Amino acid sequence: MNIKWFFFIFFCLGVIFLSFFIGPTGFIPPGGLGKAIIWEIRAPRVMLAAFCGAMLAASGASLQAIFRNPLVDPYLLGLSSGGALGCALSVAFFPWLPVPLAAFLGASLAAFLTYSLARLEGSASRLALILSGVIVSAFLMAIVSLIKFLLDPHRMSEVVLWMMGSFALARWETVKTTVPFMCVGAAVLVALRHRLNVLSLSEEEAKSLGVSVGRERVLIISAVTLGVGATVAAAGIIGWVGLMVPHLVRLSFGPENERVLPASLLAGAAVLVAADTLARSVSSFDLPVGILTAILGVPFFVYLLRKARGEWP
Amino acid sequence: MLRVNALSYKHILKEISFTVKKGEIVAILGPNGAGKTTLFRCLMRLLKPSKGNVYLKEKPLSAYQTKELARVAAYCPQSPKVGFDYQVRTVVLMGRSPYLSPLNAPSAKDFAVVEKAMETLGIKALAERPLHTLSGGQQRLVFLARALAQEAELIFLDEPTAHLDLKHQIHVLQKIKDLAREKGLTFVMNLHDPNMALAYAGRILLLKAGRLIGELSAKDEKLKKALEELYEIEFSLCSLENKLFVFPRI
Repeated sequence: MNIKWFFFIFFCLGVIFLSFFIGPTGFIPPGGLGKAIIWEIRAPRVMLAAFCGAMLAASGASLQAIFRNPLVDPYLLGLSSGGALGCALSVAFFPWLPVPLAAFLGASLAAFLTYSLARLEGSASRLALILSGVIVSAFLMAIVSLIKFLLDPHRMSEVVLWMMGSFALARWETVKTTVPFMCVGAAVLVALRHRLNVLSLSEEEAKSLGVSVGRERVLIISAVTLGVGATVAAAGIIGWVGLMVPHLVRLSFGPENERVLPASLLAGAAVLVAADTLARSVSSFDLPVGILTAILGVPFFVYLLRKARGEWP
Repeated sequence: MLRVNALSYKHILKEISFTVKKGEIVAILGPNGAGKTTLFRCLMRLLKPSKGNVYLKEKPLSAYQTKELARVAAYCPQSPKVGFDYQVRTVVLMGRSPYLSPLNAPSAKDFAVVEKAMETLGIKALAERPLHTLSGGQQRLVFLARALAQEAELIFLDEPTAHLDLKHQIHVLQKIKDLAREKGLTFVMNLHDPNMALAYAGRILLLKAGRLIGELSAKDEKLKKALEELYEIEFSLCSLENKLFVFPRI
């Protein structure tokens, strides 16, 4: 077991470390600019991708546990769209509102809407939750499109990049303003990792085991909302990482959340950093990483559906 | 241990009163839809009764905190839904939740209690196995072990023998009887087989259409009549090896 963890940690950190040295200009950029390129351009970008990946994966793992639903992730529940709406509103109409805060408020609104909509069906079942996530997401994105339409074209490019999910605008300044929020969100989730197992039971069973289910669920959703809001503020909407990574982690570490959560943090960081490195080095264009994760994510979703054939209501 | 006083829940339960003493095994017999599961859920405070009172260890049920209640009374639902394929040890460890704050990692003591509970029920060899790979009977023992890890004095079992073959039904019920005798634990369970109830329960309550219509005991001359009233079918009595058995006439 320990050897497995050792290799896992070594591999993840190795991927992140190597990413500092990969880019369109080669392993070590030529000329005296090398240091500046690595430190001023690549380093903040890799750091931001690592923190966002970690936060998204940990959020996905926690949400999957508390909703007993392997298909849930921050993107599918509409949290990312809510965050995007917050960002767009802040850029377009309320420049005095800090973008991470706006993203958090937007994501909170989305969480509230999705959950209350799913509750209408009765018990917020797996299917109801996914459906209401899709509906809320579509609704919020429509408003974002409306804002885009109203916005003058010069400022629009920024919003467009956001909606595709990209680290192209990552600077040390972005790292400073968003990463602390992600750290708080992730720290809460990690602190509650032992509790996630019992929270993944039905509400009644968890209650009969002495757990204040409602209160603890709200705590977890708030932590996820805070952290995911910050990732949206940092890099826009990046889907599928939160869905894929916890599944891959469970395949090798088992479903126990006290292991899934820390492993998801690391694996999420490594996966998103690798995806972003691929996106920025594969061509001379700086592709938005959100496009890449979505292209990888859809076949994965199909695989999950096939694997679970008939098991899900 | 448990005193139920004129408990009603909507139109499902009507004026139910009974008491359970420490170390007793009480079985509840009744046709489908009689309100057995609803009764359990009221007694575990998962449903709020419309009328009446429940006292647990002479303290009103409503005065218990969630954690405190789970330390005194445990509930084994009929078909527990575990969304992920956890190991047996993880499932049993969930029984320690009422002793842990959300931020606590389980301590060595918690693990010791868990090992002991699995040992008591003879499932220690299965500790590392994923729950879904176990048979129905083994799974039942896992959830019973979880209740033991809760260190609760009173355990509610919702159909502990459902979907089990005869051998495993007897195995589970014998374990329950041993626990009541050796550890003084109290059990309230619902069963469908009157013969199992006669063999393993100290007392049998009869629940029909939300009302308690009486108690059953093996020495009772009215045994046949009471069962016929309960299930609305005819029964035959038969004595084998000095034990009384009942059979539905088919």
